[in-house]
Amino acid sequence: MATMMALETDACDALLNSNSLVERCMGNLDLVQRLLSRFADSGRQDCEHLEAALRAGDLRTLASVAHRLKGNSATIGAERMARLASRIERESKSAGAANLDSVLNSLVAEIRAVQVEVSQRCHESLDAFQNLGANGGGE
Amino acid sequence: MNILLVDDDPTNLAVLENSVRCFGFEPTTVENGRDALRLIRTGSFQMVISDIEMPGMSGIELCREIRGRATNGYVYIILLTSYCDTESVIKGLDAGADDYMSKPFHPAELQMRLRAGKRLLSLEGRDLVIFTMAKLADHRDNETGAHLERMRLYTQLLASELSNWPQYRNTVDGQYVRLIYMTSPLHDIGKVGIPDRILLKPGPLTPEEFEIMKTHTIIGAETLESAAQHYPEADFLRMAYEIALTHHERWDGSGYPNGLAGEQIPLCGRITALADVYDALTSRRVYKPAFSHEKARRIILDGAGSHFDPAIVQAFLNVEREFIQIQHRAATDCVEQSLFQVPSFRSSLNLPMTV
Ligand SMILES: [Fe+2]
Repeated sequence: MATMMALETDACDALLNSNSLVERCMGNLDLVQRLLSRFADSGRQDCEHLEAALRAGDLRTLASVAHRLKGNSATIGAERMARLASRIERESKSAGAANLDSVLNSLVAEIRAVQVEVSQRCHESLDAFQNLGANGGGE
Repeated sequence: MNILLVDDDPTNLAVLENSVRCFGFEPTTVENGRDALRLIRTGSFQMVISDIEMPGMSGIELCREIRGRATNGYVYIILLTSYCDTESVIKGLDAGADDYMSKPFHPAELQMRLRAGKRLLSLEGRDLVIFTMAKLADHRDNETGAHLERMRLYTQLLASELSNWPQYRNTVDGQYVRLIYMTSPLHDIGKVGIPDRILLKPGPLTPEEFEIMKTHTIIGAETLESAAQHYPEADFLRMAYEIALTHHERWDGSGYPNGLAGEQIPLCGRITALADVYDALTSRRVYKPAFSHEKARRIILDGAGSHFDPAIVQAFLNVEREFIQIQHRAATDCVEQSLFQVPSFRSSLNLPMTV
């Protein structure tokens, strides 16, 4: 478990904190896999939604998509992505949405990075998760 | 235990479902507030965990809807908020939520909150059973009115007033106030052992009959004491026992059944004595009209130091305004409540119709 934490580097700013994901799923690896593949499946569409909303200046939609992404990413342990989505949500709700563009670009890039990471992990036959399930699934 | 999970986001819903199942609950999931409300109305859910931000009906509106209409028993509501959203938390608690948890939550936190909710619900169930028992016993001779509803409010009021006095700080705390509210309705439960010809006699009792009538204190106390021996950890049974036994004792030692005086009489008995007399005075009886608050107040003041503990009389004076409010309010809405509760017992138990 200690080595796993080390792999994640900064525990509060991880690309994908699988440790906390397994914990949240209480060691249910089927659920872990289901959540990750659902996340990977919807990633592309989410990016398109975000960009379309920004182009149309539709801040309401932008806020609501960002809100959903914030929840999802926090749940699966995509911490950096959660933070970016949260910023988009906040800023598109406030009046002066000045630098939305650049934040949105970072978010889209982050979503893609998480997607890649997720599909890699899924292909690694979930070895990492299996170890976690045995060691760190409980508390 | 069934639990209803409400979230428009399937990922959150799946995580939530998995954890509550691990904690031994039976989850049902819905994705919006309307469906949640429909299921809650079936009466099968006492616990709800709901997201706040949902399209259509928000979690806060759902809360308000649940609290706004009569449900079959209490529904315990936990709201899920995005982190740092203090404003929603306040709105949610204001709308009647019991607890909240920010997302993403740790399973251990969820488990603690579920445990707290279950505990509260079981206490509520117990309170209801106690009150129902009391109501059933009371119903034989007290056909109309909401005597017990008022009694528990009066005793609660007196106890919470005393809890502010330095000399009671160590005895009368929040738990004491809650216990007396819960147990004072049982004060006359021993009346179940008094024969109809005495309990329901329209005229005055003969001295022999009155002696039998007095035994309602001992009958009630014995019943509650044997229950207390079976469940020594249930401190409410202990207090119920003391109240049943001593609510007719008088400060100067002239009461019954044991002629205790002063602080020999447990505090809860002294409190209940005043509440009982005040309610009898301000209620209509076959042999007397309902006295005004002023008249009842005079009689109670006259009894300070003889019938009543002077300190309790002082507490009564301090919260006099609230007594008047309870007396007035109970005259209207509590009566409705007791009307809807009792007839069902009567029909199922075949109790005799008495006037
Ligand atoms: Fe009595």
